Amino acid sequence: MPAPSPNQVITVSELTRRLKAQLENTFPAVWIEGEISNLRVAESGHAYFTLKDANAQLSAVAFRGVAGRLGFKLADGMAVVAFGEISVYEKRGQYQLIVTQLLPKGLGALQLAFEQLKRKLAAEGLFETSRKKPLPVLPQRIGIVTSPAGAAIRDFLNIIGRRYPNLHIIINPVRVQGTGAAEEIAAAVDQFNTLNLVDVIIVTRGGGSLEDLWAFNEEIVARAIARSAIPTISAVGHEIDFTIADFVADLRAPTPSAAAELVVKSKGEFLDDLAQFQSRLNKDLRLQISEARRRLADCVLRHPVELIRQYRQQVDDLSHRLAMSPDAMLSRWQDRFATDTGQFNSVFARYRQDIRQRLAHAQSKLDLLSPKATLARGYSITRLADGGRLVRRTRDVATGAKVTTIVLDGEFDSVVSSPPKIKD
Amino acid sequence: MKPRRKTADAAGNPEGLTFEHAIQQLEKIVADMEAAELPLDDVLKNYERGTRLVRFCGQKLDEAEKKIELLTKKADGSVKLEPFEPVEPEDENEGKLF
Repeated sequence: MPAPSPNQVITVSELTRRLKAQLENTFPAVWIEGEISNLRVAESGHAYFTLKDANAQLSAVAFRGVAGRLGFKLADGMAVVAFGEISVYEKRGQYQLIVTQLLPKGLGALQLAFEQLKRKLAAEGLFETSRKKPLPVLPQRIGIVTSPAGAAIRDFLNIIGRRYPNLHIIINPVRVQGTGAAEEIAAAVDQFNTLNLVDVIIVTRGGGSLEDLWAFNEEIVARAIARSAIPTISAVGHEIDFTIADFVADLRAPTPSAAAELVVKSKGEFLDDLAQFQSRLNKDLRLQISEARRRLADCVLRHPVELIRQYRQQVDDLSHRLAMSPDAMLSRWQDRFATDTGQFNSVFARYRQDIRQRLAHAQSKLDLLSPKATLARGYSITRLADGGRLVRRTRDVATGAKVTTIVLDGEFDSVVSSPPKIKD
Repeated sequence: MKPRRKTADAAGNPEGLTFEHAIQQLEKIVADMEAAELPLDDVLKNYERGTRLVRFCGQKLDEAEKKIELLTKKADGSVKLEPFEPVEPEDENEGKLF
C-alpha cells in the first residue's frame, strides 16, 4: 500500500464533516422497518432505541413530542415501521435515525398507506385551517355526492326535511366503495364545480370498515376536494371514522345526519334570529324617543335670559319634526314581528301630543313677549330720527331732538319740546 | 344550467341583496341604534330600514322551492336533472323492528 502524501491526509473532523453531509443529504426522509431493542425512555421523555434486523442495526431516537403521541406502547422486540431522517452526531462519531413517525408493523398496508398519504398532503399544506372556506349562510342549492341507494342520503334528507324543508338539493350519484369509486367521487366534485351548479357540496357515505371507506382516503378524492372552489363538507362513516377527505374538506361532519345539521341552520332558528332583530329595533326606537323627550324637557328649563331664542328655535324644530314623522311611517311599521305595535302607537301618539302642547305653549309665550302684543296694549316705541337708536331712558334724548314714534299700525315724527323729566 | 345568483351591491334597496348581506346590514343597523346618540331623524330612518330588512330576510327564507333532484348523464355527455325518489331500504337489517 503506498504511503499517503502529506496533502492527502485529512482530519477526523474533516472526514466526519464530509460523512455527515453525504449521509444527511442522501437520507433526509426515509421509511424503514425493523425491530426495537435496547429501548430506554429518559426522564425527559425522549425514547432511545436500536432498530435492528438479522444483519444490521441502527441507533434511533424519538424525541418526547413524537414519543408521547404514539397511540401505542413501545417495547423491545416490537416490529415497527419508522419515518425519519438520518443524522450524524460528530462528537461521538455516530449516525442515528431521528424518528418523526412510528407505527406498529402489523398494522397493515392500508393503514400505512393512510399514514403516508396523510403526511404527504399535510406537508403540502392541504389540511391547513387557513385554507378552509366558510359555508354560505343560506345556501340556494346544496349538492350531494353519494350513493343514491344508501342510508346516508336517506338519513340526510330525513333530517333536512324536518329542519328546513324548502331547499333545493341536487344529488350527484356515485359508487362509494370498490374499484373506480374514488374516480367517480372526484369526478362528481369536479362536475359540480365546472357546472357551477350549487353553493355547497357534501361528500358522504354511511359507516363501514376501513376497506369500505377506502375510496375517501384516496389521493384523487383529496385533490378534487382541495381544488373545489365551492365549499365542501365531508361526512364519511361514523363519528370515530376519520378519512383523508375529512381532513381536506372545509368542514368535517361526523355523520351524514350531522351534515344535515351543519350545512344550514334550521328555519326555526333563522326566524328566531329575525324576531330578535325586530325586538331590538323596537326597543331602541322606544328608548331613543323617550331620550329625545327628556332632552326637550331639559331644554325648556334653561336660563331665563335665553328663553326667547330657545322658544323660537324650538318652535321651528318641533314644527319640523311634527311635519315629517308619525302617521305615514307608522302604518308602514306594521309587520308580523312588531308584536308591540299597539304599545308603540300609543307611545308615539303621546309624543305627538306632547310636541303639540309644547308648540302651542311656545307660540303663546312668543306672542306675549313679542313687541306686537305690547304695542297693541297702547305702548309705543321711540327711536332717534338720526341713527335710529332706541330711546329707553330720559338721558337718550335732549330738548329739540328729532324722534320717530312707532305705534301698532305705523309711525310719526316729533321733536322733544321740553327737558325730559326723570320719574321717581 | 342556471348560474349562481350574483351578489348585487344595493345601497338603499334590499331587494338586490343576498340573505347573508342583509343580515350583516341588519346587525350594523342594530349596533348603530344601540350605541350612538343619533338624531331622531336617523333613528327613525334606521328603524324603517331595519324593519324592511327583517321582512326581506323572512321572505328570502320562504323563497326556495322544495326540490330534490338527481343529476344524470345523457348519452351525448351533457347532464340533466330529474326528480329524485329515495330508494326504500333493501338491507334486511334496515327498516325492520324485529
